[in-house]
Amino acid sequence: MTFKFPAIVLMGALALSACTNPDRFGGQGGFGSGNPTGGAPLNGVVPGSANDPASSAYFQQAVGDRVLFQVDQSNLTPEGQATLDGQAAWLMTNMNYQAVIEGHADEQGTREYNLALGARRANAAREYLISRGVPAARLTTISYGKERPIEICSNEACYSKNRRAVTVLAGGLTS
Amino acid sequence: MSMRLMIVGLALVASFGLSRGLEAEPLRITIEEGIIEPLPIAIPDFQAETGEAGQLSRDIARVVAQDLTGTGLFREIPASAFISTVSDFGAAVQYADWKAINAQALVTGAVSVTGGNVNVKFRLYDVFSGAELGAGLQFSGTTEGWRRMAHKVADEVYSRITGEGKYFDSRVVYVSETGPKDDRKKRLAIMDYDGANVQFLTDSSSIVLAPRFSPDGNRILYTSYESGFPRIYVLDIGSVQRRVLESGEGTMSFAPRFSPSGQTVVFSLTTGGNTDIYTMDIASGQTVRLTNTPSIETAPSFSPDGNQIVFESDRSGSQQLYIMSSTGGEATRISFGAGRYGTPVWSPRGDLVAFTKQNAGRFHIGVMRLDGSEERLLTASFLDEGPTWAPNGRVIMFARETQGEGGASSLYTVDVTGRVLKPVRTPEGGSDPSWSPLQK
Amino acid sequence: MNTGHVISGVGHIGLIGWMFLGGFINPQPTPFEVTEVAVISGAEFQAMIDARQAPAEITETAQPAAPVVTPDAPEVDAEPEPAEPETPPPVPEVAEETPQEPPTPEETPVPEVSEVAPEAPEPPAEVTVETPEVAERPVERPADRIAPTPAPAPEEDVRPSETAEPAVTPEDTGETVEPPREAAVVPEATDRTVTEADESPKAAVTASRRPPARRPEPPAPRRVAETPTPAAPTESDTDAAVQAALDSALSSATADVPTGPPLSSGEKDALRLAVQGCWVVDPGAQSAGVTVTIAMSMEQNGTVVQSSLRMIGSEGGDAGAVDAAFQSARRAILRCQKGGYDLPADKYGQWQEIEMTFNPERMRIR
Repeated sequence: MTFKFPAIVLMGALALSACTNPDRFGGQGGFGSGNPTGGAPLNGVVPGSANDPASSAYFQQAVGDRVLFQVDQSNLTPEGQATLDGQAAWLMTNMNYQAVIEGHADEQGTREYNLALGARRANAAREYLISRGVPAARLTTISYGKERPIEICSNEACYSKNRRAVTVLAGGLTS
Repeated sequence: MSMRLMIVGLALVASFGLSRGLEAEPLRITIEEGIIEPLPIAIPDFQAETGEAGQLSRDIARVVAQDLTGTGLFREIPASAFISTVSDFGAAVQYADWKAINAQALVTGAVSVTGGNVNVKFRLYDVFSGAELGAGLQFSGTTEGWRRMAHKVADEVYSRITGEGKYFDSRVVYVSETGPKDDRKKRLAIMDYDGANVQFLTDSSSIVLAPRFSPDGNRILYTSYESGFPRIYVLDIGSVQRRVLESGEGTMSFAPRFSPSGQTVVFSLTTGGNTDIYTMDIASGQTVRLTNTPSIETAPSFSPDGNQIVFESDRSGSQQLYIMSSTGGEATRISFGAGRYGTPVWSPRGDLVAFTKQNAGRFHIGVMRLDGSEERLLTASFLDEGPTWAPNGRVIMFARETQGEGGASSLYTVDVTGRVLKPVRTPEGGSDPSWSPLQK
Repeated sequence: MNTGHVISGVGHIGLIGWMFLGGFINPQPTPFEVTEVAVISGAEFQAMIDARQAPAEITETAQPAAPVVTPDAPEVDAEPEPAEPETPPPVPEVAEETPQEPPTPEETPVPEVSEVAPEAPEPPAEVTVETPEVAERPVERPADRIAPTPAPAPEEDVRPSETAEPAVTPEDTGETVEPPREAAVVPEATDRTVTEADESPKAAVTASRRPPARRPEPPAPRRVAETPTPAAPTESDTDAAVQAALDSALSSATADVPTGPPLSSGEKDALRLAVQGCWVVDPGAQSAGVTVTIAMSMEQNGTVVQSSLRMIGSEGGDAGAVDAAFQSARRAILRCQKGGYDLPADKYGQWQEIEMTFNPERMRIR
């Protein structure tokens, strides 16, 4: 009898996490969209293909959903700024999208510091988008530190791709 | 030699002089070189005093032996070398037989089982002195908890011989990990210090990080993404109930640790990309901001007296360690070596800070004094991080991640001398260990 | 929130919830199960405690239990077998623990452990016998005599032990990886560590000694007490030891003691080397910050009058550390004497009494 209670609590928590749980797809593009990095085929759950300029798939692939950073840096590179310019333009024409900007770090660093570093990166991208006219209210940030790498080798080729800020679209249909 | 010591010595000399007439002073010799080697110890199977105790009497002796030899300070003499057997816990010990095989210490014990309870008693002998070392003790508990009783016996033996505090009867909470790097599942787990009795405290549906024990060992602080954002939770180990501690909108909180009183939590809060250190009174939820800089301040850890906090900051341009008052204010940098320093943890003894150091492409677990002196690196690998102190301040547990695509994280312990490094066996991978206080 | 999420979430909730209840999400023993066990044990434990009323602070009480004497006095060796259900005085300590356990039964998968003094075999009276023996020069030796003989053999036996050791340990540990067994001596086991340590030039040069904590007035009274367990159960251990030493001194004084010239530095070095070869230091321990001085009386054949071994001074460390330091030094002296230290017989008077200071300062890790 004593043990049923916690069970219920845990279940509730499970339910909660099952419905939000952005980390499930963190670093791999938007909800229900194709996986830009792996071999997973695009699925058809989300209306609009990469050819549809108003789709999140288009945003990911044509506009570019991520910017990369130098080691231990959160300054935007010229390439990063160019990508963000594109993102800002897209967001300004697709006003019903919210975006969560995920900051990431490579595995070379302590866990706590990398969380903070990821937050810096996400924030740098967010600030830039705001400076380009995207309403701050549409942009939130989150850091995953080194918890969600997309490349798993242990050298610079992978690290450089893991040091990133990914703009993940949300709420395409609702506000 | 201290004055007092001299006086004592002289007094003794004088008394001898009287009785011995013309005898000279004692011969005085000073020894400054010794040897560093494990102490040979004999741990025969404990006596089974009841029929059901047969297996336990052997198992308990084995766990005692594993605890002791695991420190690197003891070497167990195999039973095959024994000359005499211990057939009766109460019988006189044949010291000569143990001397003959160079056993410097001998542990004897007896186990009895009644119903679901087990009673374990033991005696420790200093073989070359031909005397018992300390009094015999006995412990009782449930048969399920027999390992704890073994740990308690080992703690007594360890403590009596080394003079160090106990730590075997303790637990570790950590993050149990499975899966590849890009799809790693993490859940909180708790186990005995030696990796036995693992139990899971959460599922792996969301990322969980860095659990930390409360001073009484009953609660755990940790960071979870279950709300979608990193937040600090406090979990009661007994009921497995948890609640979120901090949940400001648009912020993320992590790296929590209890104060020694258990009433305050120190943690990092990130707002607008900037991370600073705060404390929160658990009862009232009231927070106090301790740092206010544009740099990253994180990984705070209280001093044992609760008056100070050691933390890491990159305010100088790279991660370094600092100490400040637990109410905030001016911070003093203590790390000055090459490389970057993070995850400082104040030792329970109060004399050292353990840390993770990153230098020249390698990670180290190290310790330094509070003023940054006597820095000593204890390990080196592709990625070592997250030290946690054993309750006696003598051993450090940490996580080691291996390199490459198949990289995985597992737990290790290292003696504060750096001489004894060994893996902790866990059913899955492990990271972010936090050592409990000694159990009551 | 996002409707899509919610919809899929609801589905997931059901599924996951079902799985959870089904119990296969967590194949390991869940905390709940543990809880159950713990609860039961708590009650049982309680009952047990009530039933047997185990003695609490036994530690102290049990002291006499240590029939240490037995070894020295073979005649005495009738070591009483502990009476199982000894009637131990009710223990307040236990009571304390008991209430605590119940409330949090679930949290502690581990059962409650009560510290109780084992039934103390009646020892005291017989123990007393020991003292007299010590006083008597010749008689005292008996115990040692046994040792000396097999002594030489020991070395050999030990070797095999070491060899066998490694094999056993790794298995026990589970992981074969980096077994630190012999690590304490050789860096091989922890090669990296050593390398690292060396690498850090930053390492402070000075070994800052630990702030000398309060020095226990009567150094390690505990230890001493346990060892000789002199007639006087009081803390007159030291006195007893001194007494014994005096006795031996007197008896030897009676004999004709060749004094000769002071020992040469070479002769002193030989003794120093002989002892340091057995002095095991744990550089990471707090006892490594303790310097102890031990006084002892010697037999003419170079063996130590065991009962005369006593600590006459210490510096640094707390009581536990001092105690450990003393024990370690005592073990070194007793262990390395073998059949007796090689000291010039014609100068017996010069080394009949020895004071040895063990200073680990240079061995501390830094």
